[in-house]
Amino acid sequence: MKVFTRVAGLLVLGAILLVGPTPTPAATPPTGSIGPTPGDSDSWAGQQYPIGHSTPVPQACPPPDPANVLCDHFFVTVNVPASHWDTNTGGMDVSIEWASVDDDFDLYVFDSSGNQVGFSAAGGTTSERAFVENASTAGSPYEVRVVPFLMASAPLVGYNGTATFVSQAGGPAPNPARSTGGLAFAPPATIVDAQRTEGEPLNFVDQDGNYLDSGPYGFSTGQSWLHRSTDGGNQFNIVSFAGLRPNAPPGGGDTDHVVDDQGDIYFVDLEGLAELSCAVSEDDGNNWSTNQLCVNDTVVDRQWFALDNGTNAGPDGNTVFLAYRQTPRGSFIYSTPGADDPDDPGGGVLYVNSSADLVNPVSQGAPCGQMRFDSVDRYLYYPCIQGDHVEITRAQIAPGQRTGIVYSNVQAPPSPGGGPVGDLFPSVATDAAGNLYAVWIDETDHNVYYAASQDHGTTWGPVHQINGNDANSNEFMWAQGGAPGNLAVAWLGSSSHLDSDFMPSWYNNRQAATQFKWFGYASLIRNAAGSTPTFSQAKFTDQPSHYGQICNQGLFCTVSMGDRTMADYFSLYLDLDGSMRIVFNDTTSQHHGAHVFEVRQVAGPTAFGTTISKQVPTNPVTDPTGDAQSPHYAPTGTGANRPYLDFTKLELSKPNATTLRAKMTLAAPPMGVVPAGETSNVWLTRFQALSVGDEGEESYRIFYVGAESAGGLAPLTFFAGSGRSANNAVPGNGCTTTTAENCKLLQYPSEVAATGNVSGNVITIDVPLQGGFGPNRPILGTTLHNVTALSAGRGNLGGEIADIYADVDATKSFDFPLGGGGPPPPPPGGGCKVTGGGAIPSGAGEGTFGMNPQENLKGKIRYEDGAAADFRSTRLTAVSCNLAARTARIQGEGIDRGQTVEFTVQVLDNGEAGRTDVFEIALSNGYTQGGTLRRGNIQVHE
Amino acid sequence: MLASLGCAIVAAGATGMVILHGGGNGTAEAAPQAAPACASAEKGVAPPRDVPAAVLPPETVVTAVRRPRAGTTVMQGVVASPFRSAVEFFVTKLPEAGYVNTTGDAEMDEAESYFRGAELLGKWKVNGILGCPDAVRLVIFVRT
Repeated sequence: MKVFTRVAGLLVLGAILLVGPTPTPAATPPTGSIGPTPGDSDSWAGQQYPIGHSTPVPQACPPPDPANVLCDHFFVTVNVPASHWDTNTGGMDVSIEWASVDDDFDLYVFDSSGNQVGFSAAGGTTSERAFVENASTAGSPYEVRVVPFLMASAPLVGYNGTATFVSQAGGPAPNPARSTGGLAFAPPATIVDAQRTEGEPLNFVDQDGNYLDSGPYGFSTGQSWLHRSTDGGNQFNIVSFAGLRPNAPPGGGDTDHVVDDQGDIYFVDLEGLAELSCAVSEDDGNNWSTNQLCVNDTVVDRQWFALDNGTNAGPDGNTVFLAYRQTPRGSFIYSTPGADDPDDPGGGVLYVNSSADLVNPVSQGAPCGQMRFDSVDRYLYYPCIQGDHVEITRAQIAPGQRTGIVYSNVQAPPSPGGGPVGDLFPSVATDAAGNLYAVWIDETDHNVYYAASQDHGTTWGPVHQINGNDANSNEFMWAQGGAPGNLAVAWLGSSSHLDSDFMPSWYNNRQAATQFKWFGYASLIRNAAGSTPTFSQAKFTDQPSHYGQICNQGLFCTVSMGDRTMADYFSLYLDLDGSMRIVFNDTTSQHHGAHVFEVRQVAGPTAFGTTISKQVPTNPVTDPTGDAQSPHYAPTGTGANRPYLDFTKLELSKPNATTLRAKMTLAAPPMGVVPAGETSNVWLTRFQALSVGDEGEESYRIFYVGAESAGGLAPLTFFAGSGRSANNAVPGNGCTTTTAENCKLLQYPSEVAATGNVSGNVITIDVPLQGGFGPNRPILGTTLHNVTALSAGRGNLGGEIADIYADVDATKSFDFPLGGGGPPPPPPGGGCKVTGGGAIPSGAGEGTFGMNPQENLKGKIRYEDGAAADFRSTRLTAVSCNLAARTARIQGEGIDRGQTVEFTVQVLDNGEAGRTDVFEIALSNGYTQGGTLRRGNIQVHE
Repeated sequence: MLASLGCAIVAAGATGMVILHGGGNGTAEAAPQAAPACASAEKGVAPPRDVPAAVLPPETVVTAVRRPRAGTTVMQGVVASPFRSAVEFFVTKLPEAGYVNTTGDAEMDEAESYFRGAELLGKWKVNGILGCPDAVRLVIFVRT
């Protein structure tokens, strides 16, 4: 079963992490076998290689490779027939681990016919990992070829390897076909926060049509965020003064929020280690009443709200329910009156146990999903995972009842996949007829399922699979009920059948991760409580929203550098017209941060039974005046509008085939007082486009052009940029991190001067489409996604490392087709290759190198001389060869002794002997070295 | 945030008798270590005696101690260690010292787990610090 498989595989991985290389002459043992039992594994101690050894590519060392001189070879047999995968899902998980980041092993896997079936060849790591889906006896023995790209840390360098058999019951049965039924979502999506990243975003639409998003920023910051839009979701602003959350730190654990029918906003955050802090605002978020310990309990976790607006339009009878889990006892449900309750001044900040049983928990299941209150039959529902099914705590609530509630537990049907049902939080929803729906994702077959109950969970109808078409491996589901029989569900899906845990983590291997693309999916199910439901399914993202692993391995996500960027969920809410509004994370930027976006249903059937057809914003967009206050929310009230930061229009154009023009029109000329605490006014136009990331991987990079006014005065400066990502411990300039590579706060540094001017109220900036945002950041797609103009105040002219801007105005977002002037340059094709390794003289010593760059910008270079240079490339930006002269020139970016540098390497291939080959390297920090090889060989070839 | 996944993995790492590091009644006595300036660690305070030394990474600076109710202690501190190294300490060293990590979870810059040992129930939480990748914040809760 999946859990066993995960545990076994991870224990092995954990063991590898703790055990360093041991001296062995070669792969010991040289062969192994795994399967058919899930979790079966074989480990080997790898060959040791001397310092300076370099084998650049696996093609340099096919078997036979006597004594494993060039590369190490381990042969493994997978003991299941190919037919095993007709009814199971999985394969072979291969990993290698070594001690020092100064060394670089690469991992390749070949089947018995010599076909490469897996690889992992990152740089700057101490591990590589590859997964061979559907590995079997038919492809056995598989050769695990470990390529010592460059050894640098010790006289002899070795590694350890493990191959693990991974198998889960349930074959890759084709999903049912689902038509869209007219269901369609915009692009574009609105960026909720142009700076902060935020996993687990939650949304809520209040009765006045205001949109609110909240999510934790992490205890590391003591913050969580609440964003609010008063213009239909086109512009979100932080609901707090000074960029802080509604109540004082420490917080940042988990959030939830609701707005009652009196307009009062309720907010809850998980404090520090163990407590819940609650806040309520009765003036749209300007002022908050808070209680840092709003439930009389400690060591609590994952709290959820549910809202009972009472039985009349007045404030009396309003109740906010608050569920949380206390470890080890279980879950409890507390309650508080509405903040406007005339009889209770503690409404919204003082919560009491709502249960008639004040001692025992309402549920022992875990984790538990968001509560829902069914205002039709007045039932409260709270879903928790109980092995292979969802357990639902329920109670019928009398009008105004807040305490003495008798809860009971009902069980949804077992999951057809066998469960557990933990990918990830379970969900419940109710429709306008009081029908109850339980929705979950099965960990074994990764399908999204639901079951319906027409009697509040006492009995259940059949289980139905929701996901269809190419949504094979699925994670993170959220559900909402609508009109009788209507159920809306959203989730993340991948066309791969692989368990998300076994996909490569972006933090381990960016290029490998981008082979696994996740999209957002939504389904509107009609007649969902009946026997013949109909499903309308559509993607809600038009580009991938995530690459690679979504780690569910608990603490091992940290020790294995797993990917938990998005945390545990995203969410779906219904707009006032019944259409779907979804807040989700797009992690596909060069930073792989949890950037928060909101996307809306624009066409097709709604959950309320109507049909909609909405206009999608297109270039140019207009923007209302009077929405550029700073601050937007403050105890003293909303600040004054700043017309010089107030957009009225954003227009993109291409004045010629190679130039992009951004024209930002304001309500007044762009000069005026800078927002409090900041040093300049800034106007940005940002978008994302298909490009390459900072290790050459596929990425929807963030690009921007901007104008800045120091002190709010003339003249303005004009700039463009994209921002560089952090690379291991080396920080980038585009996003401030908490831990290595974990993007938390986007910056928009002025990287490249742009051509701009101001004419009256209009800022116009021209930038070359290719190269104008910094070298070697190509725009490869035909669409600029989610184009938005933003105005803000920022500190130190954008030069601060962790500068939180004062958000002022934002326009609607739109997608911009590049069109006209011919397509953008295609991705580089194949072309020449340079492979080699060896040593050159360097002062009294020598410099050793390994390299395998290709003209298509794949590959890498490693060079170190034991003293003045310790360099590895992170990205190739140009590879040119003269095959007749057998020379090559490679340029790019890399890291030398912990600092980002640009580099140029030139080589001369003087024939097979290698001793007359030439290697030269020049780094932007001034280091240069070059000469004829003392040993080794370089090849420049097709 | 606590998805309760992977708890079995951690728990499986330690079996048998629970033996406290340092003879069974060790307490935190080490002098505070230096923390990077970006960690903004306030002046170090003495580690609480009811938090065993074995559950504190050696680079810990204790910054605050409070006792919200009888028998419970909450300790806050800064550890001069990258996030991954700090988490590896808790995953590997606590079992070596006889403690069992039970329900736990990790996100990109946050890891936490309950642990238990001789007559002690606790929880540790490690968090990255914005703009400070070489240090983490640490909170430890113990109930005796």
